[in-house]
Amino acid sequence: MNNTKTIDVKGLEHAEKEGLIFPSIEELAGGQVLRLIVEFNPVPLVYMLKARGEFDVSFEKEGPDEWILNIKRKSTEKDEKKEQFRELLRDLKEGDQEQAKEKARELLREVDATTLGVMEQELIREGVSHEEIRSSLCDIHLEVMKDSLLAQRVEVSAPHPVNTLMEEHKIILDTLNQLGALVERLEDTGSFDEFGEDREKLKDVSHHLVEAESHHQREEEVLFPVLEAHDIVEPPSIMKMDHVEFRKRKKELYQLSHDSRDIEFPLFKARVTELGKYLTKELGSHIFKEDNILYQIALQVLNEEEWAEVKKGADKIGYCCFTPQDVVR
Amino acid sequence: MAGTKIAETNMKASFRDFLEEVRPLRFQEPLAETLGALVDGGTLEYRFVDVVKMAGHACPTVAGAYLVCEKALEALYPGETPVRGELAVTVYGEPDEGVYGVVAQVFSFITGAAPATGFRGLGHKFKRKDLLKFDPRKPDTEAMSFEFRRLDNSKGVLVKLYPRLIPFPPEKAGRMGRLMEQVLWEAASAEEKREFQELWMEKVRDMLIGRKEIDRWLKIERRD
Repeated sequence: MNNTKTIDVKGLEHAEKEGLIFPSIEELAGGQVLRLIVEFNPVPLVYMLKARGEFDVSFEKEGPDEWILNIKRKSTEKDEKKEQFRELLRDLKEGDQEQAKEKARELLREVDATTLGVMEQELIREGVSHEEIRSSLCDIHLEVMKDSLLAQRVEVSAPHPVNTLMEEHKIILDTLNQLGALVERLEDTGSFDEFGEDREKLKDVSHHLVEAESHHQREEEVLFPVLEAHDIVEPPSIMKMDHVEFRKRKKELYQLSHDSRDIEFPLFKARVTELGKYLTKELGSHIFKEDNILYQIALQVLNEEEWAEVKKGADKIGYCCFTPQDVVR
Repeated sequence: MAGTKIAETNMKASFRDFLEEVRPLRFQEPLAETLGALVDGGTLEYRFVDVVKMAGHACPTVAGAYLVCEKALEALYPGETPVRGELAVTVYGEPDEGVYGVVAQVFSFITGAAPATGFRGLGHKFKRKDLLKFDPRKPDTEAMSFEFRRLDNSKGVLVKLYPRLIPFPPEKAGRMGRLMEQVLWEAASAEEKREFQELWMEKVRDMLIGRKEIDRWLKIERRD
């Protein structure tokens, strides 16, 4: 990111000068510098900017034919952190992974879920791709922040929508554990006959996974729009991208488990293993992110009225077959 | 042209026989008459397959909505031909709640009572807009309730549909649920898909033709 912008307003009409200078100053982000070149001593401007307290102002040149003024918007703590995150992403891509992870560990220690969510969103707006955030920062964040996120986690009681979503997560995680165990056994198996009863279990597991669609639907149609209305846009967007990926794989796993394909065992085994491993890892990690980051942001941002609307909207969509009835009433 | 013939053949809807056998609902339609679409006092016939065309499918909800209309019309217009566009309908639910939106579409299609998007009328006549309303205050939490009121004499009825009381063997219902999931996730064989369709249509047929225990699951009260 270019941190310095120069504008030369020498010779322009007074109104034109003002039309350039003031918007350029207001647009400065934390840490950015505006080099302003004028043909007079801009004393009133310097006093005005100093009085606002948000800028560091210094002269690079003082007359006699031109004055160059450097106006720097002071960095807030958030700006500095964001810049450090940007560097971290660069290091994760190009540098030493272990060093980058260590850096991430230090950097993320004091960042709460909301600040992190907002920062991710700003980085994406400034050109960092969703995928980059998703595949690097989120994963590293999970790895290094697991304990502190868990320590900061707020839980709410039934029938709060977040309670319902978290309770459903527990059941989905249990299903993923069963899937993991099935995949492990499948890896030691050489034929459909040997896989035997586990094929029925795989059907049950895949049934539970596709049943979780109403959980995603409630998030996407009810919770995420309210977060987006609060300008929390990117974290829900990343979660939605995850849902799309999961849906594709859940569908294939469901189809494989229901004998819908004329498929040889080695291919069946390879596909189920790959899909099972992907889902246990990625869906598990997704659930952790939602419980400990996304829902935590929501709990900080939404007011009681909005939660009442979320609950109403969730009730209208309905729940999964496995959702405990006592948590939704 | 041969190509055109094939296209015409493919476009012809071929409904199951029983869907064609459902008693039709007949209306006077003063608007169509006034504007000349209907001649010599003819009436409009709304058949269940017309509703299927509007909804794009047949299901217990669409069948239930059709029967609710039939029940309300019989009670409000004994010995008369109902007048389309002269009925106000209140749906006791919210438009995005469960299947209330679908039911309301069926009512609107059959009776002419429209929501806010309906016809504003010609001068002081034929207004269809806002004749169909939603009201979240349910008179009976176990039922789907709907009020039909004649605009010419203010006579009204409350019709209650109890979907859970519609008889259907539990083992068939369970099987249908499992097959539906397989169909939706594209994991059903051709045979399973057919089995699902047969079960689905069996329930629709039981409601529309068999009408078994209908007085238990479709009730009506006067609201004059």
